[in-house]
Amino acid sequence: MEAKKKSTRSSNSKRQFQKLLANKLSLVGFIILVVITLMCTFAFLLTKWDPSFIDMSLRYAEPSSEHILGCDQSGRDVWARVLYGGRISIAIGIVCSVLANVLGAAVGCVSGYYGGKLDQALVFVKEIFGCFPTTMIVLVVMGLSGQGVLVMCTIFVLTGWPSTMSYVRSRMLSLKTETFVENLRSTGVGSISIMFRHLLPNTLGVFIINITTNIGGYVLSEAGLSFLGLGVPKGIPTWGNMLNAARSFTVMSEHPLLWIIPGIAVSLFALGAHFLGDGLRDVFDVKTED
Amino acid sequence: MDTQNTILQIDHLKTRFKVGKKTVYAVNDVNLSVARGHVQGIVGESGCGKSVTMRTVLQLLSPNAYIAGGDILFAPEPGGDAIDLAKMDRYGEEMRAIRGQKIAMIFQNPMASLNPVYTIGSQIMENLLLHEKVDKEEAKKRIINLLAELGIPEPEQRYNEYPHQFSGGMKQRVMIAIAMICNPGLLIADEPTTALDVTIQAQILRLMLELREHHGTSVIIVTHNMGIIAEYCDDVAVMYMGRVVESGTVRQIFQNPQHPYTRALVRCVPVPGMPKTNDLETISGSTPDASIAFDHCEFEPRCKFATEACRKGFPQAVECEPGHMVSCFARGGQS
Repeated sequence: MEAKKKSTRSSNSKRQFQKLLANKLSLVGFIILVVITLMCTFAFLLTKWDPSFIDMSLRYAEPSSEHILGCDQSGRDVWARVLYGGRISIAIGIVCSVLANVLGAAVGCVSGYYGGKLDQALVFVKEIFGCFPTTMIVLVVMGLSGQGVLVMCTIFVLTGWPSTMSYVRSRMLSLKTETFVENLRSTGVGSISIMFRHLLPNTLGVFIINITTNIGGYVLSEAGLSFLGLGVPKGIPTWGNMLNAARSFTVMSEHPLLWIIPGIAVSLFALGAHFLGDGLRDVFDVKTED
Repeated sequence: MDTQNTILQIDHLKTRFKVGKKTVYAVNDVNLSVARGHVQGIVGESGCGKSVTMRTVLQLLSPNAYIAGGDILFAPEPGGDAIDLAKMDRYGEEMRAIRGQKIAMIFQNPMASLNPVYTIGSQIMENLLLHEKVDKEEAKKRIINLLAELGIPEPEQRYNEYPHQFSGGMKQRVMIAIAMICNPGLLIADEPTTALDVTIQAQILRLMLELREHHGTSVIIVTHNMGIIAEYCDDVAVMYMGRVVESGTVRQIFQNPQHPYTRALVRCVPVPGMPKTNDLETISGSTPDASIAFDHCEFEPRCKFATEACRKGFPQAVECEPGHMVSCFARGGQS
């Protein structure tokens, strides 16, 4: 009986996982994400160099057995910088994406469930936050307050939640009229519990898809803003900062590894996130269920 | 009220809905009393206020609905005190403690009545843990026992399955399990079998009778199917336009219907063995708009026996034989 129980339990998630595996592109995306994230997390196993260690004698050093991808303009190991820089970039992507989506889902949930005046007010707030272009706000705020990871992440979250909020809200509007909600009420379950414990999990699919695709998006945004010198402060190695440091014409033409490597890292990661997000969409979309 | 023999007594209940500037008079002066341990049927056509009356009992009303008057006296214990549900705060702790524990309700559409993302076990467990302090192991045992009692095969395995793995009839059994897990004194079934096919209907209804036998639960079955009433109920109340026009035992209502509406209803139903050439009787006209407040008997426009008195006021209920109440001027009712 015990074994039987297990088999029925896992059949659902197993089938979903198989569906994901069947989509080759999303599988590739998934592998790319996992490999890059693992490499960055365990960077200390893959390189012995400190990403901030400066050795001016190795300025623009060519790849060698010691420095497999050479060194940058300050003689810092490029391979180490890509790995350690990825930590910050990926962390920013994950944290911002999760926070923005959680905030969006929570607000959307309350807004859609209660409806009425509260809903109108929250939708209004959402419209305000949603209509500002992220880059413009970053430009203005960074200009006023100076660079900072926290400032950038705050802006990402504040401009990122509206899309999730709209989706969760619209799902709530239809979910709250389902009979099971009435049934829950008839057994004395409270509103908060109905909202967050029962209705919100029904939107989980899109929540996961959004988080995945947004991670790629925020890694890309971070790189873009840092490249413009508006993102993470220069001292911290990130993929964007590496690109920023490599933007002079001489570096571009004579030391292509300095920009190709972080460029590939950013592109691969963002691409992986999009592929995976696309695959997850197929997995969670009940309408494509065969 | 006699709490020894009566579990629920509804007196002069009025429920209204505010729709824009209009008011919909959904329940107008319902008087009903449910005997302890009996199966009470409530019958009437669509829109006559059956469901709204039942929802009012648990105050499961939409925000634009309100109780305009009347009492809902509920006595959970025989001989104990009766509490007035109509006076409770709709969102209050008291009301929520009664829902699911003392009075449970099952709905029409079992297909959509379960949350698709949780296993049925956890959904039954939720109701149990909400109202009773039991540890999870014991709760699980109780749930599996109840599932077995409700005729769900392999309950240990089914406990961990999701709603989409259940058929309609099985889902309705799960709904009954959720309703019955806390052993409520009163089970309200709002058209419990409308969405099910006929064989499953019979199984589900028979199951409710068994529950009554084993747990002593009083049951209210809301339906528009006269066959279900005749087969499974002890008592029946006939509703028309938010009013109980006639009530009594099933035998009284079917063999000696007094109100013109009840008479017409009983004759609308085909009976086996009836000559093929016979036309079924229909009730002429249609139900009036519920947003217009009536100042006289609501059935008068469709009634063959309407007299001048019927256009002047509402008939009070009179007892035409012991336990058989009818509200009609033609049957001796006074306004």
